[in-house]
Amino acid sequence: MPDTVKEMMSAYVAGCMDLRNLAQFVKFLDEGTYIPLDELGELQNIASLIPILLEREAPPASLQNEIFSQIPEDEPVEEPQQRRTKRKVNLSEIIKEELEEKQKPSEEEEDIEIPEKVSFTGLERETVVKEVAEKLEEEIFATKKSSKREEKKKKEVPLEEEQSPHPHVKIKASGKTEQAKKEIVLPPEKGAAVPEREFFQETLPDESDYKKLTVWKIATGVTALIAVIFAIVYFSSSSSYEEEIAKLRQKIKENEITIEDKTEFINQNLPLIEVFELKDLILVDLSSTTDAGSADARILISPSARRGIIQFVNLPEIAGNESLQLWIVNKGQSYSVGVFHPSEKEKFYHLTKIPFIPFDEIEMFRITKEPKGGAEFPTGKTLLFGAFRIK
Amino acid sequence: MNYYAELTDRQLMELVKKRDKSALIELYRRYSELLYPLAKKIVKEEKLAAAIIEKVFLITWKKIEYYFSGAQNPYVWFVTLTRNSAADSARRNRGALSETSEYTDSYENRFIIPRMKEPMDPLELKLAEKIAPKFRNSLEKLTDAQKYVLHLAYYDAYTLDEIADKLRIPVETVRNKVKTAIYNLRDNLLTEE
Repeated sequence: MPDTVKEMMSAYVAGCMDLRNLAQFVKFLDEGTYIPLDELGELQNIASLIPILLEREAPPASLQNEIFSQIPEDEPVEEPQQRRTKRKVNLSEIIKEELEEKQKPSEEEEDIEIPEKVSFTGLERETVVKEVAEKLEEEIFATKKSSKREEKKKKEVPLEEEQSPHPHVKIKASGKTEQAKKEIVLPPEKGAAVPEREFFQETLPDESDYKKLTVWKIATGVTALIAVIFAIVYFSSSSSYEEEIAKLRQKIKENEITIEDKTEFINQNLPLIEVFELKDLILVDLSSTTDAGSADARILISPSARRGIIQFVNLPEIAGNESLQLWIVNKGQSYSVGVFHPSEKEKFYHLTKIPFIPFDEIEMFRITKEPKGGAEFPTGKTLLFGAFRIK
Repeated sequence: MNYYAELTDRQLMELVKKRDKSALIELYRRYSELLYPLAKKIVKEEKLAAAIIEKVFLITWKKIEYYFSGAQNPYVWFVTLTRNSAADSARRNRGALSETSEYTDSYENRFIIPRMKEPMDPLELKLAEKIAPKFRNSLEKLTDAQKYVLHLAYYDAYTLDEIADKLRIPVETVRNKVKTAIYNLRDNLLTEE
């Protein structure tokens, strides 16, 4: 592993990176590139052991309350045992339980023996009703026949007392026959269309009940319809709100990312921006010698601030054990300005340690290839050079 | 017997993820006495140290999603979060951060919250306490210069450049010193009996 990566990881776990480098390092971490995470984890463990040697000390007693009063109380979370016993506490299970309870026969009902025939389900009920109706029809038809016969007899024989075909229906003599007949609801002839209601007056609701039932049904229907409309309106409006909220959230997220990117850009390029803010910037173009092919470089430097930047273009490959070194040449002497190991990632290098030589005495800049870390005097070939002219 | 007291730190963090406030309170009981002196040593002020601890636990509650979901031990999380928060506060107090470094949510996410990723295998508190004597010996074996640089970095919250300026040595030398100190600590610990 290159030493620079080790240095970066060590600086990261010791917490001494400046923000610009830290931003870059975190970016590498988030992207999962360059950094061996297992080794970084090891070093992080080592660094986090440093405070274990400190003497323990309790924070102020009020601090716990101050912290946790800011955290809203959520639903109390029970211990696993309690969780098991209360696991049914949700709406669907409550409803299910209630339904099961309703379906269970009550204790009283359990005591009652219900014959199989009176189960009133499906066809069985209809069959029973039909049978009863037929029996009654037959009985009444027979009664009507006999009453006709009796009537015939009445015309022949003066009436003293008329016998009702039914033992419980007594028809009084002495001119009250007509009235009595009105009180008795006579069934129609056999075969004629008989309204069922007349036969089952006692079991079926009467007219007013029907009206009430109809009104009730209509009212229920209207209520249900209103409820459905309300539900549709509510859910459609709430879902549209949710969509709106989701869109806004997405927008906020996007804006946050944009801000983050811009902050990152600013952090990364802050030194560059600062250099461009300097008033007396001088541009120096460095040209390549034959050893450097198409390479070139540009230096922007401020004589008053003694700071600047250098940019390399199309550099030849630099071996791992080599570095590039920038020199200022003054009266035949070379003075080091900086040592670089250019990579594709770095666009600019900052020049912060410019020797204190009057700028009007600087003859030229040159870049040589030196052993890694640089040399005291130029030892390698000159790759790039440029004259220095003050405007 | 308190139910939460019987749980491991990992289990408590999992409960915190499920918004169990009592689990975080239990973690506070376990960690506050370790984290408070750490914060105090960096910010050098009791009130500020208490504010750092408050921030650490509120971040843990609000941004638990940053805590790796692979049920890691939270020891490194708490220590690093406290150290980062305190170092940031110390740098701000001495005016070492530029105006562009405003403390925002995004800043906090990037520079304060520790990155805990697979395949990192963070320490647990009990193990850290167990190997503390060995770690002390490992630290003693470092050279004075390495110890000093490490102290300036970790407890005084100096950056590499600031250390270089303070010691009047090239920043490359500081980088190398920090690296050597950390790697030597690891190697010394591994060879400790």
